Amino acid sequence: MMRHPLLPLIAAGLTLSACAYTAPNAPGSGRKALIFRMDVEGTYQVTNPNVTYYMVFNAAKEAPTDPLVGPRFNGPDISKARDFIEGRLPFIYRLPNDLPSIWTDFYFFAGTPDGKGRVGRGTIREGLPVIIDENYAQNQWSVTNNGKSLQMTIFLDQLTGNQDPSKIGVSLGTGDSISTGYGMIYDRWKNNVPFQLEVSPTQQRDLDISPAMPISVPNRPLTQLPPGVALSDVNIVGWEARLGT
Amino acid sequence: MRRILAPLLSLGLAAGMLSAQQAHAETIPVEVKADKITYDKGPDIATLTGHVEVKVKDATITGDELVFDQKNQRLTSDTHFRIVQKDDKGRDQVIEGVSFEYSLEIRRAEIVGARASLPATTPETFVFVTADRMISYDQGKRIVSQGAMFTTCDNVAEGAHADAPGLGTVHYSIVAGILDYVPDNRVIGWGATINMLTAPVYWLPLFYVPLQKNQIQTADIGQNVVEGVFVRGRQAIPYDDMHEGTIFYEVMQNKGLGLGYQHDWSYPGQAVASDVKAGAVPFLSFLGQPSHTYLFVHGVPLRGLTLFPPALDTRIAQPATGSNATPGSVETGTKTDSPASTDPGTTTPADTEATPPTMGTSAITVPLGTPMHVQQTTVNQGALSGSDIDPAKRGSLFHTGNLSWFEDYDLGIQHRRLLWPTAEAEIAFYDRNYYNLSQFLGGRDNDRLLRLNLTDREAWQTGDELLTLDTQGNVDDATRWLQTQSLRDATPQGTASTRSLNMTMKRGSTTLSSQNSWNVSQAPSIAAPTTPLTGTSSSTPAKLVTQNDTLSSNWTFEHTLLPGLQWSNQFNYQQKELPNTPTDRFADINVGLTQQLPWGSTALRMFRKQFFNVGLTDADVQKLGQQRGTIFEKLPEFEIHTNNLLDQWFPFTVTSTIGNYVETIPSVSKPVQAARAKFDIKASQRPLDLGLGFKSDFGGTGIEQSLYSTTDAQFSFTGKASVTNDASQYFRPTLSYTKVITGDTDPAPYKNNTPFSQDKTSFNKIDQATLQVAAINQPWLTMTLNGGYDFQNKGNMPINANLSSMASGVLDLFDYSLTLQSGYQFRNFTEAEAKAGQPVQSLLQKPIEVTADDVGKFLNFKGGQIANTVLGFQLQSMGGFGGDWGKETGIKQGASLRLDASWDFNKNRPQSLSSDVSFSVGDSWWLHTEISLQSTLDMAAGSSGLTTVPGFLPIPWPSDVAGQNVGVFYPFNRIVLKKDLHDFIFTLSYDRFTQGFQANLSLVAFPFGSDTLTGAMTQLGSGTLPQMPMNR
Repeated sequence: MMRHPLLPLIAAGLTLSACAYTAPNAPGSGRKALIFRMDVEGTYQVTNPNVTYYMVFNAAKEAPTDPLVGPRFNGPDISKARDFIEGRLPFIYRLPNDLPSIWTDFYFFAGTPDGKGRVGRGTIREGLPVIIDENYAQNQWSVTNNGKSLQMTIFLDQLTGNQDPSKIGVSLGTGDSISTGYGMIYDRWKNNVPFQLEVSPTQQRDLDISPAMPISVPNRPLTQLPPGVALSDVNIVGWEARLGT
Repeated sequence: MRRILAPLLSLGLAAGMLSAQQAHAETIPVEVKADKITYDKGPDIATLTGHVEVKVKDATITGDELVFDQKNQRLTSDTHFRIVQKDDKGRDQVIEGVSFEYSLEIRRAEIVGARASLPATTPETFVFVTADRMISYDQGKRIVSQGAMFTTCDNVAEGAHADAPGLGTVHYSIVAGILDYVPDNRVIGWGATINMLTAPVYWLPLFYVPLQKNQIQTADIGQNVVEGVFVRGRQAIPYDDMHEGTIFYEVMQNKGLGLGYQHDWSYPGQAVASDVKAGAVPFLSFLGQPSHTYLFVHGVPLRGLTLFPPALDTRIAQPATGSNATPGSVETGTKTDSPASTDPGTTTPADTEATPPTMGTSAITVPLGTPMHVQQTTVNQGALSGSDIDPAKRGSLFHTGNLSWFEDYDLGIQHRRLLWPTAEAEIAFYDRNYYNLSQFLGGRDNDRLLRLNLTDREAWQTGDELLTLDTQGNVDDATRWLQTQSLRDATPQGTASTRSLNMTMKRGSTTLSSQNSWNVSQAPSIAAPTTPLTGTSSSTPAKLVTQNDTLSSNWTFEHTLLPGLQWSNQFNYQQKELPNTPTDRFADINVGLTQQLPWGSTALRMFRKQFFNVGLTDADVQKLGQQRGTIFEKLPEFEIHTNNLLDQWFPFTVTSTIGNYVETIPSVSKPVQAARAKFDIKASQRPLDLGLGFKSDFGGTGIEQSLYSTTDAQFSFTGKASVTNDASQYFRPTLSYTKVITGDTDPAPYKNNTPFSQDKTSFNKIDQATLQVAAINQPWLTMTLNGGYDFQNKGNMPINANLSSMASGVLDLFDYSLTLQSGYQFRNFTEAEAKAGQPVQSLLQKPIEVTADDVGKFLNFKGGQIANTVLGFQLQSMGGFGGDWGKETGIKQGASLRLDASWDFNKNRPQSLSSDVSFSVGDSWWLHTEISLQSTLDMAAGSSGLTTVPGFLPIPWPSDVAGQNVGVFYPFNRIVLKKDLHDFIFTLSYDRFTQGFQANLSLVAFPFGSDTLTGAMTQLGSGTLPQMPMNR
């Protein structure tokens, strides 16, 4: 059998991996992170900037006692032009008598022409939604599982509400472009009822087997998928989360 | 069949014998069949007699006798004939007559005593034209008739077309001296009489019927709370091939008259060769290039004009009465009550209309059904901007007041043109200041937008190289104003602008691209709430603050050095100003060199974040740090990655990375710098067949080792195994086990440690088993059950239970689809909780006692809760129904029901409910009616203090909180009723969002409804030019 040129390298690595050495703890060693994964039925549109995948959190200092209170994908602020971010985010507004969308932070994934995609995060400043980071650090997220999963590392000290929450209200959804869209809703989690995520080292997870159902919003053009995008590509089918320490 | 070239014709064929021949006159092939053919050689004329069939191009002519003048390329007939010819879309046009003359070269037919059935837009529907004399140009592209009758009622057909049998009296028709018909475009009639049944009811000197979607005229009648009763319509005006106009008109109870005009000028330009390059065309020649100009003006000319007595005027509302008026609150004009006094059963829209309001008080007020404290909460979230204003100013929306001209207006101009074949320029200006149709929005839509756009896609050859330059510049300014003020000198509600300039250059394997943009938006600040849940903070708009001011310049350079060797460089500069933080200026610098090799790849990467801020205080640095998050710079990093090794036996990959890194985290003032060598071996996914249907997979199993220059080190070993059995197609269990071993608990000096916070192997630490059981009988029934146990933290993972079922043609009656999702969430107790001996809270926030036995107990249901239970159900009559209009018989009847519901078993109450019911009755047009109803249960979370107020036909749903409703059921969010009138469809709709009714009539053959007018305005409001192709 022919000897593979990388065998010595593998052997050296196995040898090295047998030991670990300790130095004093680094300043940031105590940071906790939420290891969050969001799955879609098809594949993430990594090259298409016209689709945005949202994870919206309500990490309020006082956790709501009612499970109905939390982020909701009811649509954008339809009284605002899409030049304003609240005219583009699909979890801002509510139709008559809808429960309000209560949130503190959101993360989003959008495709880029180079095929790498990008993750950003936003929050509320002076009562106004803002995107505070257009390019979340690349080593803290990855698209895995043959393009079906987005794996995120979200440090709890980066949340703007409660930085050590025991429970977070979460909702997931997909919509059109966060930069130039109308705040269209392509899919939202389980009848738009937010879920309460236990921030626990034991893995939490859930599935949503219902198909994506695009929602049309008044005062906005009819919701339509961008060309080349299938309904399965925007259909969120599951999530997993656990606390990493 | 024999093929014979003209002028050869077979003369010796006996009468009664079927003959098939093909004549070929110059370049026009003609195929003829007839019982008898006689040929006169002198004038070169053939006479075909008996069962004549002539095929020329896409037309087939049949008749009893036909004369073929081959010299003049002309077919004539003086007996009954039938022409079937294909139009541009391949549909059959059928024309019959008593005599005709057909010119082969120009495909023109002149027909006497003509009857034509021509395909309309809706499949299997037709336009019927009869005429004393008819000329069909260019095989039916344009048909001009004299003494003509036009209708889409198929009672006239009498077998003219197989799909349009014709049965009786024509329901409507247009009789014109001259009728000019261009399929799918328009019909013009001069001296036109409109007949209903057989009676003439109206006469017009010129009758124009556009047949295109965006031009078809409509007459809508309706009512909404803002405009009152209204009638609106549009009329297209044809000028010539380059100019088209449309007039809009409205008569409104509350707003008076509305007028509008739209003009499209599509200039085809002068011929310029497509391969002409920049510079080869003189500069001034761009004036002759193709262009498209669009102009739109719409408005209410005279504000304050009312057409009806005040008693009928629904603009102004009842002043606040008695104790219901809360100081500082926004009045509804009827009742804005405290939650306790809200009685959904007593206040209805009828109540609202029955209480005439007083001028000058609040009119359009709060969004319907929005309690004040909910409004405030929402305002804090940046929504409901119209609800936070002084009630006294709201009256100005519909205050009759002094007359003012064109206060409500919407205008726009847009011009797009080619500069040369690869470059295009566009300028657009839109200005809109208009009331909003929805009382829910309760305000005005104000936008001013200026857009300049230049696109240049230039290409030219330089030897063997091709240089492509693609640039695009865009300036987009939108200004919005305080909704409650109607005049332009009001305080701005906000401004937003976008300016961008993009460029791409490509030459051979080298690409340079740049995207630059400057986005600025300003909005009134709203004091940040202490907690976003309470919603108790002030909702008073403050001064205008910069919501976002971002300048971004991204440059990318890519070059292929050798086959498989790629160099890339990105420089992204950003200058960002957000509320409450100083401007942050930084650049992300990425450099990469990747080499694809037969056995894998190598990559050299560098990432650096360079800041350009000066004069920042410590507080500023802290704020910006929180905004930037964790930064991990690579200075640089080298990676070797293999493809699958031992691919045939046990595939795995090897990755080795070495680099120098700097990590900056918000909570630490000094960044951490260290070098790291990382080694990673990982098994790839590959099912192994174990026999008896068992398959195992060890994908993801591997080992990772990192060594640092700080003498730290860490490792992790990941073991993953899954076993599944697919021997039965009906039952498929899968058991997975994952264990990640790290050295976090090892004694010093072997304990894992890393100088960085973001690459801790402990983040991956897992010791868990999961089980999935699937009972499958697709598509009838699929059930899955997921669960697991976390050995590391001694906790049960949630159980998910899902069921789906669907079937078609059940009992030959119906189709259905069902999904049911539920689960159970465990309350996992810690040893600390058990040792404390104090009651702990369950997931339902109830105190429970916990003992040591409860810690880590498998399937411990103590303190847990049932997860959201979600139902999706759709039932419809087999194979669907409806959709066919104007048919005498055979219209499919049926019904469908869609229900989406969520139920909280823990509180025994619904969490969401929506339904859609639609049905079609009547198998013949005179009974055929289709109705669609959408309903929702609008929730109010009683325990969180959120309440609801009554809406249209409210049905209270009892709550677990005494005296409160959990929500209001709206049976009619949207109602659409469509009645088949054979040739027309009458549509009546109600929409809760606008609280408005609307009725209109549309042609079955050209199914473009009345919503196009509103749709056009929405498009204009959002600054989108209706997409019309530019002539080139």
